[in-house]
This record gives sequence, structure tokens and C-alpha cells, in this order.
Amino acid sequence: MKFSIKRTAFIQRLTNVQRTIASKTTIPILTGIKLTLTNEKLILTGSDSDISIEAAIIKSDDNAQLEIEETGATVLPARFFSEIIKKLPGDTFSLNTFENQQTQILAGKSIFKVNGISAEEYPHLPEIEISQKITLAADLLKKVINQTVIAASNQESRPILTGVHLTIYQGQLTAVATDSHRLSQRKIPLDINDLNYDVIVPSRSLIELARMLPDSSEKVELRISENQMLCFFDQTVFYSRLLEGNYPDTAQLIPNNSETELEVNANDFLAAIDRASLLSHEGNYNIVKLTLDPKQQLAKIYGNSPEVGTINEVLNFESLTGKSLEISFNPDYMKDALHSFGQTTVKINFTQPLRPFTLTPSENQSNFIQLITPVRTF
Amino acid sequence: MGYRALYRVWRPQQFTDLVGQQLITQTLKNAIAAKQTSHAYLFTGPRGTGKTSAAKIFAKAINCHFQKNGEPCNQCEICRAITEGRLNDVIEIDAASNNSVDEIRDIREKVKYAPTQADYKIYIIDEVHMLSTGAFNALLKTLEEPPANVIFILATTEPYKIPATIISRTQRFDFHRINDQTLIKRMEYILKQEKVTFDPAALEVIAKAAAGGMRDALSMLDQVLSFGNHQATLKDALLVTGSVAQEQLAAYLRAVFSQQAAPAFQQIQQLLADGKDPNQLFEGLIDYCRQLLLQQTVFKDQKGESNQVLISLAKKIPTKVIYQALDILSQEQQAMRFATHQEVYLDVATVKLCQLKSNDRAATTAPAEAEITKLQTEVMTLKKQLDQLVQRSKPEEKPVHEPKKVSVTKQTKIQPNLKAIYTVLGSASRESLDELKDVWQDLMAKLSVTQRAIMNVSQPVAASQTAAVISFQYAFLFEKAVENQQLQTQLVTDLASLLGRQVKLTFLPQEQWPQIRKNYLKEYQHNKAESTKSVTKQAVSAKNSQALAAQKIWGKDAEKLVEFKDD
Amino acid sequence: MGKKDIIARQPRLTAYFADLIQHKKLVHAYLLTGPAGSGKHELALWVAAGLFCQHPVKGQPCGKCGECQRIFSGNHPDVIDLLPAGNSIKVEQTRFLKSEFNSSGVESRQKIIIIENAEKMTASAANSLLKFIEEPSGQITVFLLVASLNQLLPTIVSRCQLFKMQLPSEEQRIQTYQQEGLNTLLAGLTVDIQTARQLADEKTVLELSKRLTQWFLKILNNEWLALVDVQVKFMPLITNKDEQNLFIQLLELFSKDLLRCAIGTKMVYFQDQALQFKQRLTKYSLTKQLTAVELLLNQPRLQQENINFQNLLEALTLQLIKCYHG
Repeated sequence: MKFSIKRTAFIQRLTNVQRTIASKTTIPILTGIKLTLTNEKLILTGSDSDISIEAAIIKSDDNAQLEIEETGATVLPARFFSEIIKKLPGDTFSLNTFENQQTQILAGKSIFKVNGISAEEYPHLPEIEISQKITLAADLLKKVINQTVIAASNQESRPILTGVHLTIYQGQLTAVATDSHRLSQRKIPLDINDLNYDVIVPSRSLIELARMLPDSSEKVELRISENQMLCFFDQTVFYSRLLEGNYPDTAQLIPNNSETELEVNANDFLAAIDRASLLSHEGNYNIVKLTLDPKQQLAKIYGNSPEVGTINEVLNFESLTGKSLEISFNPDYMKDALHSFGQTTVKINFTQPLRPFTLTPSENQSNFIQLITPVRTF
Repeated sequence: MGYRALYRVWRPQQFTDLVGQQLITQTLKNAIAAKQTSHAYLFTGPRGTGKTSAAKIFAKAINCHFQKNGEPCNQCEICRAITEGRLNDVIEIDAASNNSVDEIRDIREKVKYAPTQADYKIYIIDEVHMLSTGAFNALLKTLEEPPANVIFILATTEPYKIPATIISRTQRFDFHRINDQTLIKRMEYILKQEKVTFDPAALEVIAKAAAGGMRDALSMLDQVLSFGNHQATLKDALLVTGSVAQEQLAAYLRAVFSQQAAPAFQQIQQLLADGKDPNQLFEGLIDYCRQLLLQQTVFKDQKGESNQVLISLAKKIPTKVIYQALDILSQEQQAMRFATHQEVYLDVATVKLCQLKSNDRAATTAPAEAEITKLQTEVMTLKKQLDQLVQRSKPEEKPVHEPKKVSVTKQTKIQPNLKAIYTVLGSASRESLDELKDVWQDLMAKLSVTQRAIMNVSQPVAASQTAAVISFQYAFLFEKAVENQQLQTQLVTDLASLLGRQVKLTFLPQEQWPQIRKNYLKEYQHNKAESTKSVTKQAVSAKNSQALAAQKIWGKDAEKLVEFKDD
Repeated sequence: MGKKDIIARQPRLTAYFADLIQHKKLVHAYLLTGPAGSGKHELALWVAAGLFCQHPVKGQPCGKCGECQRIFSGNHPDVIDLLPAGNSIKVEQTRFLKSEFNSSGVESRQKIIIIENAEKMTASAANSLLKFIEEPSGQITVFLLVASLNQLLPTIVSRCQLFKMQLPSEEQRIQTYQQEGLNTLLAGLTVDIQTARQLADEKTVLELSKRLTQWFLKILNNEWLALVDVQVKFMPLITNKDEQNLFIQLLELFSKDLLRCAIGTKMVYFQDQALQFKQRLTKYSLTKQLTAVELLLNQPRLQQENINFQNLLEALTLQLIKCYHG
């Protein structure tokens, strides 16, 4: 392998890849970064085995000025390699790998020699046929992720719940997460119809992916294999391993009837909950109580801390119908849920004081739903 | 892969399938049917007895809307979701990895949330003994004021690690080891369902090795099937469980109880070479001895079908010996626990077991004791007489002796008294030799310094009840000893006081011992062979035995005569 | 560690596993037991290679393809090898393991997890693995490797299929070691000829065994200097727990030889002084010799009771002298 390249462009890609490389790993080769040079591009690969990232620099990229002399591949110790590249003099450097995997890095008058490992030893990431792709806008995917991961569990006791359940069925992508006390479900239509998938992706991976996705409607591609989910965007391939196991049947959890219905502005309600939680956070049980009286058209929120004091607030709302109800819940769950709606009105549907209630945007109710389990106070 | 272990496939899904714990399952079923469940249960018992299975069935039954007589329907969405472990309201927590106070506090907080789908929220806390003290205390709070519709099921293999305050707030069920018959029945059922042929003896071996654990049994059964190309054979069962076949145990015990160390050792070597574990050998032997005892006591008069080897062995061996054998076996098994080379303990046990019967015979033959006391008194009188005799003869003897000694040294070497030696060999036994060896050092201690100088290089090489052959490392010391009458008298009297009986001593130099023994054996065999052949020879051997008999009657005096003659 | 080697050493088990691999009948958890050097780890890797190999022959790995090579070099991301960190496998390590139990493989769904020295799992680490070993989701096979079953939780054992490594018999071992010019004593200490060579090079073992026989001869000669030997000859060479264990092992082997002597067969481990022992020992009765052997064999148990090691050996010396000389 032999090439020369502009340092700044290389470093930018390197940093992206390097974030996945763990310093501690049971698989020695994963402390390395893989460089693959083809006739068209240079690919950098890093992995902590849960997440793998491939970032490519193409020949035609003017910023990079990639000069390909001889194709090939090698694995170099990531930490040293990136330190070396960052400290090299000059704007460009060249890299040359010999048969025994020894690699020479040249910049200005300095020459580094680094021992590499055969690229054959590096994990083989799955290749998935291009026909099996799902295309959607980057900012939409980002939104789906951010709206669902909030409900994923961070507890090890039920590892499956630390993931987000993605199902692709009949041209629709459904993303669901639940920690068994709350649930968030988002549906989006897709432009394909013939692919069916059912996978659970670790929320940690999705959070990382969302961080890397551009904030534009640029198209990204999803591909799914039996053990990995791939996401292509901006000359980058993001791989995440999947979780193994049975995901709870969440469709059963969402009630389809409603006894009491409250419609509020998400931001206003969020502010009120925030105030109430100031006191509830002080108490033993982090609970606020919501009292709804449709007859009197009255909605009240009540927070209490035995040591500090109480808060009572009458809520502004758009509409309130159905039976009267008193229900208690964790205000933090409510805050997370309301945050995910943004500036809009939400419809909250209650059945019974001890049954989960749902939040949906007033418009397009079927696409996004948040569910919260109430707390028993008696 | 696609292959699922039997114990996973055949995990009980309703109380009826949970075998061996009828009392518990019935109680739970009744409680569910009568809607009188407690808010906290503690399931304790050894591994593989059904604690977690019972907890999951309970979770289903109480939440199932089609529950019948306390049994879940296993058809409805809720039942299926629980079976597949994907119902949010049945929370399985493994206390080993979530054992801190914070994690239990988290449970305490989350307990307050209403169930999402089912009627009851069930917390199954497995390995609950792993909780820290702080965590137990935190849990205590929740158990004290449990929210409605929440049920805790705590499961543990080590109930003694659970604080009393926790136990007192739960309904406790002790799961028992499942007995062999129940294990076998369940295995038979599964094998029939799986359409697998099996040897009933194989199931017995597995059941025994499983020691009351259903999961153990099914794991082993799985392994046996994987070996046996989908059939359960006794051979594979023995291989998988590492158990030792009953016949092999019997053969070993038969060997040691008839003091045949060589075949016993061989047996052990073979079993170890086959990959058997010393511990399992001990277990097997102990179990076999237990069966022998049972045969002798409980089943004495019944059971036609039981195995003949066991019965015949049980008839042959005295109960007392079996008890002693059990002592030896369990003692060695205990001692072995921390050792790296455990097979040594088996060897030690073998040697000890081989010694058993003879000791026992000596101990049980009561008349012998009376005989010994009688002999002792006899010896004492004889000794007195002898002392007098020696003292009287002393002054004259000295001069007589000296020239003799000179002449002897001038002459050819003194020859050992072959006849006396042969006599000893004729009735020699290992026990007598051991007995003599045991006291030999003490005997030496009684001698004067000069006497000890002669005897220090000596050791007994053969002995009967009444006589012994002593070998000397150096020929000249042998000669000295033969000549030293006083020394011999001293030895005999001292020995009598140590052993409680008279033992005549015959000396020989060590270098001649192998040859003499060889000759003796040759002659002995020759005699034996001849005696069967011809009548005349028979007469000779008869004469021989007559001579032996005569010597036995004359005792010490005869010996003395012979020695003097040789002199 | 060639692949041929493991087939030669474990013909029965390699054949068995090859058959399972071929018919896709591997279960989720196996427990391999055998002393250090008996090839447990090699066998587990061999099975892993058999599963992943690109050109397997009847379930046996080719040993040459990229998959095989990555597995043997420890670089396959779906063959996870867990070693104790320091003296034990702690909960943090099992956390990592648990996350592995719950996620798919990096390259495919198939995964192999190898836990070496599984007896070194702390109680909580072992307990926390129970659930995952019982019902792993996905295509996972776990290999637990242990030297002896005694130290493993029975609840773990009952979740696994148990296999004992085949070992060459004592006789075969002694013969091979002799052919290799190694002291026969080493055959008692290790089944692995590499380790034996190492021990021979280190010399500590052989020096200790020499001092052991000298000490014992003194005891037989009723020389009280034997007592001094403990402090002067033994203790300088026994400075840590490992060396204590080694010495205890030597005592076990020595008692094995003494027992051989008592029943009239040849000593095999301490051959150098065999004749001297034989001469001195024949004058003692079998019972007495047995008592001495048992005194020696008591030491492994006593060692567990946290008694000062020197005191232990000094007490032993006195007991032996008393046993032999009254």
C-alpha cells in the first residue's frame, strides 16, 4: 500500500473512526485502525466490536488530494498512529507499507516506521447486498432515534430493554423502546415495500449514530443483516451489533380506548411539570399528582415534599373531556416525553388511575406515541 | 445450532409437570385457585429442584385469565409472553449481579409503578442470598409495606444466608431433592416423547449421579444421547456420569475383603485409566457398602430380583467389617479433598481395607485372649526357671565357650539353622511379621549398648506366631549373635514381655536370605507336587509334618537343641 | 499448539465435537475439566475453529484458512476468551461477558465464549453468570475450563455438559518423560511436557525434591537435625503460596512412593534414593509405614487451615520421627 494525502482531511476522518476504538479490549487487534486502499478510495476502519465505523476518503475529493500509488491494506496501532499523524510536520504526508507489514510514514524530513498487523486478522464486517437497502433522510432518522432512546432502559437486569426495537413491515418503520415503566414508539413510512426486518439495536449505538448523522435531509441508507445494522452516509459506514432475545410485545401495552382526554400545549405543560418536580425531587418518592375534573373544566397539578413544602398549580389546557380522574406519575418521565414532542399540542389519553396513559401529538396521532405507567399512591 | 438442551425444552410449564414437589405445587395451586396468595414467597432448595420454574408457573397462573384449578392455560398472550420471558410485568432479577443497595432501592421505587399489561407485577429475585446486608434491609422495607398487586418470589439455594427478618415476612417453601424414582420416571417420559430408545439401567445411573437435581439429570441425559447416537445406553451413562459400574465396585470390594491387594490395585489403576475420578470411586464404594449393609439388615429376607453378586458378597462379609470399611473410605475421602494427587488416598484406602479382615478376626476370636493370658503365665514361670538355669550355668559356661568360639572362627563359617528357618516359614504370616516389626525398635531399646551394637543391623524377615527369622546385614554380626547365648535369652524374654507370648528366634545373614527363601519355596512346592503324585513321597511329607508337629510340641527347647547341635 | 497435536492428545473428544459441529448439535454450555496442560483451551479453540472454518472436513477445522488463523491468534471478534484479571474473575468482567451474551456476533450470529480458570470466578461473578449460562439467547456456546470441579458452584455445573480431558496414564507419562531425559518426578507434577521442561530448567523443584529426600533419610535415621532442615533447607525455597502448593504436591508424590515401597513395588518418582529408602523401611511394619504415609497425606488439608507453613512442616517432622522411632 502506498499513498500520499493532505493531513487535515485525513485527521478529520481519523477522528471520526477513532471514537469507536476502545483502549481496553479482549481482542488485541481492535486496538488497531485498519487502512484499506483501493483504486478509488482510502478506507479507515475502527471498531470496539459493538460499533464499527468505516470512513472513506475518495480520490476525487479535492480537499484530500489523495494520491494512490499502490493498493493494499494494513492494521496500525490506533493510538500511536493518530498521535504520529497529528504531530507530523507539513501539510501532506505519505504512507508506505512493505510486505512484512512494516509501515513507513513520511512527512517533510521526518520518517516514522511503525509495525503493522496483517489486515487479514481484522474482523470481517458483514457485507449486505445493496438491493436490501432502506433510504431515508438523515434528520428524520436522527429524530426517530432521539424520540425513542429516551425510553430505553439503562439497567442490565433485562439487557434486551437497553435496545430499541426496529421493525420494518409493509413499508413502515416502527421504532419502540421501553424500560417497562414507560414506552416510546415512532412510526415512519418508507419508500420500499418488500423488505421485512425485526431487530433490536443497542440504544448506545443509536445515540452514537445520531451524534454522527448530519442535520440535513441528506439521504442515508440502512441495511440490516442477521447480526449487524449498517448505516451509510457521507462516505461513512456505521455498523452496530444487534441484541439477541425476545422483545416484549409492545403492541399489547398500548391501550386503544380512553376514559379521560386532556389536550395541552407541550411546552406549557412541560414548564408546569418542571415546577412541580422541584419539590417532588426532594421527597422519597419522585411523584406528582394530576387531578382532572372535566365537569368543572379543571386540571390541577400537585407536588409535595414532606420536608420542604407543596406546590399546587392550575393548568392551562386546550380541552378536557371524559371522566374525572386523579393520577400520579414520575415527573421526569413526563418531562422526557414532552421534550420529545417539541413545540406542539399533545393529547393525553387516560383509562384508569392504575393503567398506563399515552401522549400523542394532536396532529398525526398514529405516528408517535409515548406511554407512561402511573404510580400507585394508595 | 438449533439444538436446545433437554432441560430447556422440557422446562415445566404447569405445576403438574413440576415433579417431585407435589406438596408445594398443590399448596400453590390451591392458593391461586382460592385467590389467597401471599405477597412474598421464599423458595429454597438445592439446584435443579424447580424453584425458578415454580416461580414462573406461579407468575403465569396468577396472571392468566383462563386459569383452571390454579394451573395456567399456557395458551393466552400473557402466558406465552411470560414463558418467552418478554412480559414486562414479570421481572426476573438476578441478585448476584444486582446486589447493591442502590439497585434494590431502585426496585423499591419501581415497585410503585402499576403493572403495564398483567394484573400482578411479579418480581422473581433469583440467587437472593447474594444480596448485600444493606440491600436486604432495603428489600425489607418493600416486603414490609408491599403495594397491592405486587408479588415477590425470592429463590435461593442457600437459605441460611437469608436474614430472619426477611424469612419471617415471606411464605417459605423448601424444595426437596427429587428422589431417584421420580427422576427416572420423568426421564422415561421425556425419552418416550422424544422417541428415543433407552436402557433402564442407564437412567438409574444418571438418576443416582444427578443427586436429586432434575436439571443435572437432564443435562447428563442430553450428553448421553449425544454420545449414543440418540439412544441411552448404560455404557454411555457410566461414561458421562463418571460412575463406576456395580460389578467393578463389587470386584474391588471382593478383592480387598479377601486381602488380595494385587487385583484390587489393578482394578483401581484400570478405573483411573478409564478416566474415573477418585472422588466418584469413593462415592461409589461407600454407596456399595451401604447397599451391603442394607442387604444384611433390611432386605435380608426379601427381594428375589436383586442382584446376586451383592447378595453373595453381603453373606460373606461380617457387618462389623463393612462398618470399618465405611470408616476408612469416608476418612480417606475427607482427607483427599484438598490434595492434588487424589489417587494416593485410594491406594491408602486399599491397603487399609486389605488389612481389615485379619485384624477383625484377631479381635473377634475371643478365645484367643484367654489363651494368651494362659500362655503369658506359662511364659513367666518358664522365664523364672530359665533365669535360674542361666545363672547357675554361668560360671562353667564361660570357659567352655571361648575355645569353641575360636574353633568356630577358624573353621568354616557358621551356617544358619535351616531346619528352624523352614519351620518358621512353614507357618509364617504377614501379620506376625508386622507385629514383630512394630515392637522391634522397642526391643532394641531394652538391650545393653554392646548387645545393641550387634543387633542394630538386624531385622525380622519372617515370623509365625511362635517363631521368627532375623536377618543380619553383616555375616560377622550374625555369627556373634548366634554365639551370644545371653543375648538370645535376653531377646526371647524381652520379646515375651512385649508381645505377650514366646517367640523363638533364628538368625541368618542377610546375603543368604534370598537363596534360603528360594530353596524353601522350591522344596515346598516340590513336596506339594510330589505328595499328590506318589504314595511314598506322601509318607515322607507325612514324616516331615510329623517332625514339624514334634517341634511345635517341644517348643523352645527343640529349637535350642537344634541350635546347639549346629554349634 | 498445532491442531494435529490436540487431535492426537484428545482423540475421543475431538472426534465427538467434530461430529457435533458437523450435525450442528452443539449445546449452549460445556465444562471441560483437566489439570493445567491437558489441552482444555486448545480443545475449546479447536471447536471454535471447527465452527467458523471456511473449509472444514467433517467438522474438523482446516487450521490454515483466515478464520482458523484468526481464532488461534486470538483475533476473532466472535471467539471471546476470558482470563482471570489477577487472582480472580470479578463481577466487572462478567458484566462484559453478559453484554456479549446478549448481543449478536460481530461477523455472524455464531459466537463462542471461553472462560478460562472458571473456578476463579468470585462467588458473585459465578452467580451472576447463572442466568446467562442457563438460557443464552442467540447462537452461543460457552466453554468453561476448570482444573477441578470441586471449586465450582454446583449450580453452574448442573447447567453444563461435563467433559473430562483424556490424560496419558502415569506409566505412559513417566515413559515419555524418561525418553525426553526429564526427571520422572516431573511426570507427577504436570501432564504438559513443556511445563515439565520449564520446571526442569528452573531447578527449584528438583532441588526441593532432593532436600526432601535428604530430610526424610534423616528422619529414618532418627537424626533430630531433620527438624532443623525445615528452617534451613526448605523455607528458603518456599517463599510464597505457589511454592507451598508445590511442596505439598511433592509430599503427596513422595507418600505415593512410600506407599509403593510399603507394598513392595518400585518407587517411581524419587528413584534416585529408592534403594536407601527400601533398606531402611523394610524393618517397619506395614501399619507403621501406613501411619507415616497418612501423616504426609494429611498436609494438604492442614495447609488449608492457615497454619504457618514452617510450623506445619516442623510438626510433621516430629510426628514422623515419633512414628518411626517410638
